[in-house]
Amino acid sequence: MNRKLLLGIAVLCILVFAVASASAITFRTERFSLNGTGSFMAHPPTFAGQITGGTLFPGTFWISFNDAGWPTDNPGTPQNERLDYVIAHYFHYDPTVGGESWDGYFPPSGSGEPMPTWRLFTAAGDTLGGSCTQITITIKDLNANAVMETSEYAAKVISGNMVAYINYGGGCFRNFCGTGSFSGTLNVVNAGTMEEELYVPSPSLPSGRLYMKDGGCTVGVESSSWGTIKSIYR
Amino acid sequence: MIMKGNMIIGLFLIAGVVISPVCASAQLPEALSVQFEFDGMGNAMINSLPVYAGSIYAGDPLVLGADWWIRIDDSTWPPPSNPQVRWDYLFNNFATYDANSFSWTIVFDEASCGTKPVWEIDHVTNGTMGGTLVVVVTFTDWDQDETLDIDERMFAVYSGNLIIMKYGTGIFAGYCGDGTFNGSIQNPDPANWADDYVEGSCFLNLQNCQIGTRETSWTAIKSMYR
Repeated sequence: MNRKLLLGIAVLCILVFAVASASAITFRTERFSLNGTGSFMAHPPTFAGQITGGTLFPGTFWISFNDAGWPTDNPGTPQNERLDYVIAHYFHYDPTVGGESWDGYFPPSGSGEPMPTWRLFTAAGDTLGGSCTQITITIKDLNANAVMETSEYAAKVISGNMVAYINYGGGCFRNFCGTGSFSGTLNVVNAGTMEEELYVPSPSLPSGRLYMKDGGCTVGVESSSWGTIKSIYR
Repeated sequence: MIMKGNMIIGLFLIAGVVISPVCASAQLPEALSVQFEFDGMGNAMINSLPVYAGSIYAGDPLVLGADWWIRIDDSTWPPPSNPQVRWDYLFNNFATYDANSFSWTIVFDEASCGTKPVWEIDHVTNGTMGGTLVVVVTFTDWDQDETLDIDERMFAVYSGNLIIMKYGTGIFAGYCGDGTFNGSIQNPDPANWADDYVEGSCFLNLQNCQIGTRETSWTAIKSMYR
């Protein structure tokens, strides 16, 4: 009788714990602003710098584009073959009167090309990472002549959607996955090297967002496996 | 007669005194950046033309308290009388599934809509500005079954870029530029085509585009004297 009672209590406890575990998903919204530099001339084009504000401050970041198939610039020619390829492959022109501009999609919609990747590292040792499902860069055609001048390329806006994978989560994010988005500017700061500044505003009002959760990141067992595997190697 | 002439001069002087402080206060720098936070509601499935609209609740005082709206040209979409058909059309034609990130991405631009979506910000005292935009929405396939389940339609992230046309009013008159925005979309009941709640951040780069107008004017003036 006692044994049956104990067994019943044990089963009940397991059920209670199971239900509690299943329902106790933690949701976190992280905000961030960024400031860094990089260049489409680099291989791979990687923009890296500081997390300047928000819940993940202080820290560092990088966003990297996949440049498979991009040509290198030939210094012996007047044109920039690499940039010409990027503009021709990713950008399309919108001739709307008064709103003339180029929109560039990385990767191009429906192309199946590799997505840009990203990582955020806080100074406290927490890490987040994943892919950008799409990064959009828009360049205004200020004189509406449908020709992209150097001065027009120099000042751009950029935005992107992010997916955070559990396998890149570390520290307090080791069991988290999620989605997010960011927006900002991408301006040439050195015309000689084509170095550009990526700015996601702002330290006082961080616009970048990551919506994270520590449950349902992968199907059932896989979710636990990632945590277990990572804990083994820590 | 002299009395009448003096009166007219006096009126001009008064008008000058009244107008000059207004002009002085309305003078903004050649370029400025405006950042703000916004939220609002909209429903692209049961409304035609779909409008997402709301208010700016934090950020730069130039736009704080202003109303905003985004309008999407749905002339190429099935009518909203059957929202399921309308959703299926959008999803089947414009959503791209990525098996690595387990997500669908839909771009709302001149390819997926009849024309590029348009936007406007209306501030009661400072004026209006607007232009075109591109919005990119991403849904996550949480259970990785390559099917966008109803619960997965309850939350999405978005980002986009916009162009500020030089057709603003008030203190925004003469400005053009570009901008960028991002945030999230939440839907409490997608199965019954409930309204979307959107929240996000926006950053605008405004620059004085009146120089361009002057150039046009000079050309026009010179052509008149040719």
